[in-house]
Amino acid sequence: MSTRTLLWPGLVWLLLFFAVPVGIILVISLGQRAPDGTIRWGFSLDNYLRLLEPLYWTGPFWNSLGLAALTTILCLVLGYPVAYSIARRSAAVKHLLLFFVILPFFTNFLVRIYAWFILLRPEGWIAWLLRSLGLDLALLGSPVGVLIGLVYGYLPFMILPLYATLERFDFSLVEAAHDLGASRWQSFWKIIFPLSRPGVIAGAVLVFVPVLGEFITPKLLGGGKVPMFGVLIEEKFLGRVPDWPLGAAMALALMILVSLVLARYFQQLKESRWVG
Amino acid sequence: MDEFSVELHEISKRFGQTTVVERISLRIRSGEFFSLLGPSGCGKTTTLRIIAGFESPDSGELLINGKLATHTPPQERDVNLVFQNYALFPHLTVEQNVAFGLEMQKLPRAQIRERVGKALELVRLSGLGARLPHQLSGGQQQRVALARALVTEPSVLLLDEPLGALDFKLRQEMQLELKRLQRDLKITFLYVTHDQEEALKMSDRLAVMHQGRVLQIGPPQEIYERPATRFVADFIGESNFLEGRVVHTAGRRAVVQIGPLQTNVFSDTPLQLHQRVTLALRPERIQLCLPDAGNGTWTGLVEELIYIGKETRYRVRLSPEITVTVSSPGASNGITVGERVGLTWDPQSLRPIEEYSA
Amino acid sequence: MGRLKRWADQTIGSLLVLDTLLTYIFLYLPIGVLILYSFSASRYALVWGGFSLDAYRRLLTDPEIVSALLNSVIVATSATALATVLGTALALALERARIRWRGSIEAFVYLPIVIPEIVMAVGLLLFFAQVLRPLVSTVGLGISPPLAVIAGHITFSISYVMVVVRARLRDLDKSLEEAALDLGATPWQVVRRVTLPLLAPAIISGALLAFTLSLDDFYVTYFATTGGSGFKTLPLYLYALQGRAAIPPQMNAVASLMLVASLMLIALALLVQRRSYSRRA
Repeated sequence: MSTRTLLWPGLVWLLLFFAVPVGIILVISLGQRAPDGTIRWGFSLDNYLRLLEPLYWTGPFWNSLGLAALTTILCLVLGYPVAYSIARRSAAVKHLLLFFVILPFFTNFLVRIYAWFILLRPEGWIAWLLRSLGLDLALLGSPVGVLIGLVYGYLPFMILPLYATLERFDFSLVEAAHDLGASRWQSFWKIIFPLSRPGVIAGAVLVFVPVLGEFITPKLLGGGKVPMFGVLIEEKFLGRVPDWPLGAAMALALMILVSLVLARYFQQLKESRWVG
Repeated sequence: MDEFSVELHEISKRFGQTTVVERISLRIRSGEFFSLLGPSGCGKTTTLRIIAGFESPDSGELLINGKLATHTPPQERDVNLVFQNYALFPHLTVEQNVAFGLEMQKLPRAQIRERVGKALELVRLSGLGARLPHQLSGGQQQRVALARALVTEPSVLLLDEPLGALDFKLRQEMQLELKRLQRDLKITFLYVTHDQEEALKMSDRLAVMHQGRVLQIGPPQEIYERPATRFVADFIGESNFLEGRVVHTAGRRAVVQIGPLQTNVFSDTPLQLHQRVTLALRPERIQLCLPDAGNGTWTGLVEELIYIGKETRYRVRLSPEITVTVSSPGASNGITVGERVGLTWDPQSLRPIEEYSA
Repeated sequence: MGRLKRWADQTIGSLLVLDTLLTYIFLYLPIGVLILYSFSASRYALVWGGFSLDAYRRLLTDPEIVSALLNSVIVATSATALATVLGTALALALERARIRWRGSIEAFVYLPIVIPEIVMAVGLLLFFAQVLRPLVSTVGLGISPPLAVIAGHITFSISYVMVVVRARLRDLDKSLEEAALDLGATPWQVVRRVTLPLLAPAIISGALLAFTLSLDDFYVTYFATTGGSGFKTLPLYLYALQGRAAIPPQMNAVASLMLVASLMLIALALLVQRRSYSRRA
């Protein structure tokens, strides 16, 4: 007996409760929905072809992709300066500031979404503030509300990897750049940002991938009016008119999309290794 | 007791494309203090780890106490290793660290307590048994590592640069103490170091290693006085290298022409006429004398002079191509840069060496 | 340096501070609202009705919330226990043993972390509905909803525990384990007497992470309990509130209490970590 034996319990568990289920998704996605809602087993790609129909494809696809991309960009814009500011503090302050980034996420995320519910409702402060500025935006039940909720939910996933790279960053490089006559603006774009690329990429993946599969934020803050992949998948499984084979095809399509993003990520990671 | 504690026959080890240890053969006598000396990356630590059982050789055989042990797992070998970074278990007290090996042997509690106490006494740490490793100084940690390795009474103690992390004074102290321990316990010590002074001072015999090979094995005096290769002559102490050609031979004596200069050389193996030869001459074996004294002395110009306390070092130019370094004890006695000086030496200290090219 | 350039530099500096400040406000706005509203006297969670402790009082007497909270803790505790054991074993094997196809196995055990959780949730739903339940019922047994939920939580927690433990294992000085072998310990004794004690802080961190993830999990729980079993964890209870006309104010109280509980857990974790750091130093 050797330490190799320790591999088996965990591996067998993951094979049974992870690999097999994913395999079943594939099998069921090749079947058909029988008129009574049960599954008629089969072997056809019909469900995948149906995904190309505008009803399933255009709306949810662009909504999911668009919202995921927007969320990622907003998280980066909001999160980078924060990560940068934290990384430049002394050790004690650093940990405290970082702790305060994570703290809100120790309460249940549904609760946090409900909190946004309070904040964003038409008679709330934010809507009132916007109205008095002459902006009459519908926040709840609109993509804007969903976007706010998503950015809120995933911001730490951007800040943490950014902080991790910036924290190890040798800031004497910036001093060297200043010494050579670069302005802060120039030294940021020429030195800091390129060298923090691994963190940016990691953060982007950590935000983009889970947002693609989100269902709860769009459901609660979008009021069902902002269709995303996740919402659609849930509907096909647990909605009023279930269609498990189609839902399975959607889940698998999502997984393939994510795999493509991840494959691109690992490639980028390899390319930028020399700077890390 | 077997005559040899550890025997290596043609041991080789590769990591990927690089050969770290190449066909090493060594026989370490029981009860001897043996050192493996060489620069970092020469394969000495790998050799030690092969003996300890953490690496298995690609070819060759290893015998411990006369028994084949090439593929014996480390926990079954009668050798203990003192790690370079001590590798003390940070979660165990000093006593628990030292007791670890005895507990593995499932000895009775009372006996363990007694032997741990003795071992701590041996390394002069009695009274610190309840401390955790991080509460000790570097030197004390070193002693705990020693006690832990010695308490199980292995027939061979392997030491991997054990004093490398200590400051100069403490290192000097520990060198004496290690030597004392080895004499008292009569255990074979196999000591790995890159510090030539340490190796010369402590060892009964040592092996000089370079690029995975053993270049020379012998007692310290032999290694220092009669280096076999240019690498050994240069790595152990310091040497001037003079390249020339044999122009006359008479038995063990030969005359070598070095540029415009000539000198007598005595060699163990007769030199051939017209043979190219490299001669090694230690700076401290050259004496300064009056210039143009003839009688086998050379004359040159002092180009540089550095006073470093216990000695003064001169660079003397003998011809446009030839300079030698001379070191003589004490201050310069009025000799200044630009002055002409004569050089003289005992012909026995001028050694022809093998050109070793790896 | 030109005046314009200096002005631009200073502006960038102030923008940086401003952005950081705004982001922290953004992060704490909902939290502040939650805590504030947990002291509201109103019978509706989303309406302010003056200060009172009613919400906390009602929380203790609302059987639905109390049982949901209890279910969450039971699920999280059992899932964490098993996932910690399996994840730690996996980390040890992957980091310390010679394994064939290590690359593929590594990629596979990381997958549960990187793919969207909803895919895993769907897979588990189908697995239980189409394979496991029919299979188990042929021998006259059933799988209760809590068991399915625990199994699901173990599945995603294993990978997280493994990542945390493995990171520490990689930093662990290998010569400590070699020293133990050298002193006559068998490989198993090395694991038990040296490796595991030294990994304890990482194992605790991994377990805390698994516990938090389990408490917070919605997707897997939601999909694994379909069929109207009535088994509800706290997130499921909170989700079900959306259909109601009025969200009860107890929700805010629960959220505030969870925050306080998490703070205490974190403080505990930090304490454990500090102790182990001072030991290693």
